[in-house]
Amino acid sequence: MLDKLYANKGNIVTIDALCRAAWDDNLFGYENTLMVHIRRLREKIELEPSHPKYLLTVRGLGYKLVLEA
Amino acid sequence: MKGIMKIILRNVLSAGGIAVLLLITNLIILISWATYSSKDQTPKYSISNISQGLKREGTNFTLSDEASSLITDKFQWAMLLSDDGKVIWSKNLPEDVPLSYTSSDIASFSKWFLNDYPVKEWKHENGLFVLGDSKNSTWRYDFEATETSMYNAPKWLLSGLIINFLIAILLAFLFGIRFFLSLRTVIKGVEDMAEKKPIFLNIKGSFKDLANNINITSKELLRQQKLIEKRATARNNWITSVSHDIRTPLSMIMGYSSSLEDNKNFSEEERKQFSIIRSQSEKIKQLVNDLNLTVKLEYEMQPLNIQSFYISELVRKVVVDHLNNLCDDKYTLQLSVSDEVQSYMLNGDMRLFERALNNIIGNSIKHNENGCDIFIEMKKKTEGCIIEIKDNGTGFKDDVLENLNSSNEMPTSTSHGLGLFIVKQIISVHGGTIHFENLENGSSIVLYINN
Repeated sequence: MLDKLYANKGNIVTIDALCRAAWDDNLFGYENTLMVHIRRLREKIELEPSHPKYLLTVRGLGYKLVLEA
Repeated sequence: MKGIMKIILRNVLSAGGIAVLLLITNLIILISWATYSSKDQTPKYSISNISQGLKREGTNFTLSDEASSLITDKFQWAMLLSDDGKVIWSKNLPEDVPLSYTSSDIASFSKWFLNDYPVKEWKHENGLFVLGDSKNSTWRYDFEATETSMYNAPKWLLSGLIINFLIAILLAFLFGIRFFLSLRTVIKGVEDMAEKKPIFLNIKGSFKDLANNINITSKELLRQQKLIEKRATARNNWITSVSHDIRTPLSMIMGYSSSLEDNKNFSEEERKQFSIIRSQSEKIKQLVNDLNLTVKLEYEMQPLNIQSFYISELVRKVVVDHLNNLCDDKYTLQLSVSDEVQSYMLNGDMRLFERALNNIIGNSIKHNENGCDIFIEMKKKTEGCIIEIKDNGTGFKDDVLENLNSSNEMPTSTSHGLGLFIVKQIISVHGGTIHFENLENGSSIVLYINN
C-alpha cells in the first residue's frame, strides 16, 4: 500500500486503487480494514498519528502521500 | 393460437347477440301487431248486441237504432234466416247474395265465405242472424289441431329456437375460423415486415387488396432501409478516414512543437508560442476524436466493450484524476457516495462511462474560467442509480440547454455542447437517461442509470 502511495506521491490515490494494490479485490467490504491499515501506516510514519502531516485523507475519495517539498 | 380464440369467441358472441336481438325484435313486432289489430277488431264482436237489437213485432221486424248504425258503420249488411233457410229479414243485402239456403250452404258459409263475403252468424230467437262484411275485408283461416300437437307445441317452439341459436353460433364459429385463416398470413406478413424481413403475400379473396398493399409497403420499406444503411455507412467511413487523415499530421505538429518548446535555443517568448501551438493542436485532436466518437455512437457503429464494474469506483477514479491534474486552486471537486451505491455494479462500457464523466467535469472547468466548485453526488434508486453533477458556475446557455434536453439531433453549433452531446449518447446506449438543468447559480446534470 505504501508502495502504491509512494509511486503516486503528491497525488491522490483512490481507496479502490489501494484496495486492489493490497488485496487485489474491489473495495466492497474492505472499507474498515483499509482504514485500520492506514492508521497502522500513520503510526509508523507520522510523528502525531492523529494529526497526520504526510499521509493525508481526502474525504470520500482516497489518500495522499505528501513528502515535504 | 391466442388470436384465433379471440376472433372466434368474438364472432360467436356477436352471433349470439344478433340472434337474441332478432328474437327480441320479432317478439316486439308480433306483440305490437297483435295489440294493434285487436284494437281494430274489438267493436266488430258486438254481433250478439246487434242480434238482440232485432225484434219481431207481428210479421215485421224492427231494428234498434244502435244496431242499425253498428251494421252500417262497422259491417255492410245483415239478414235473418228462418229455420227452413229462407231470408225473412235483411238490411243492405247485396244483389249477389241468394235468398234461400240449404243446410249444406249454411255449413259452408259459416266456415268459409258466402259468395266471397265474410260473414258472422249468431243464434236468433227466430232463426239464424247473419252479419256480412264487404268482400276482401277479412282474411279467414280455419285452424284445427289435435290435442297432443297443441300440447307439444311449446316443446317444438323451444327446440326450434335452440336449433336456430346453435346454427347461428356454428356459422359464426366457421366464419371466425375462415376469417382467421385468411388473416393469419396477413398478420404474419406484417410481423415479418416489422422485423424488416422481405415478404411476399399471395392471398386470394377479401384480403387480396390488403395483401398487395402490404407487399408494396414492404418492398418500399426495404428499399429505404438499404438506402439509409448505405448512407450511414458512407458517412461513417468518410468521417473515420478524414479524422484519421487529420490526426496523423496533427501528431507530427504536436511532436515537433513539443520538442521546440523544450529547445533552450529559443527565447522564452518563442517557447511560449510553441506551447500554444501544441495545446491548440491538442484541442483540435480532441475535437476530431469527439467527432469520430459521436458519429460512431449515432450510427451504432461503436463496438461496446461491455463489462461489469463498480460505478462508484469509476467515479472516484475520475474525480481523483481531475484533482491530481488540476494545478489551479480556483476549482474544487467534492464527491458524495451513499452507502448503498458503493456495491452497485453496472454493466457497460467502462471507457465510455469514464469519457462521459470526464466530459461533464471537463466541461464545467472549461466554461468557468473564473473557477467553480463541482459537487458530485451518487444515490441508489430502487432500480439503478443516480449521479448528479452540480457546479456553481455560469450555467448553460439557453439554446444549448434546450438543444441538450429536447432533441436527439447533433448540436448545430459544434463548438458548444458536442462534449455533452457525447455524454448523452453514451448514457442512452447504456439504456439510461440524462437531464440538464440550470440552477440559481450554476448548472446541474443528472444521470439516471438502470441496468
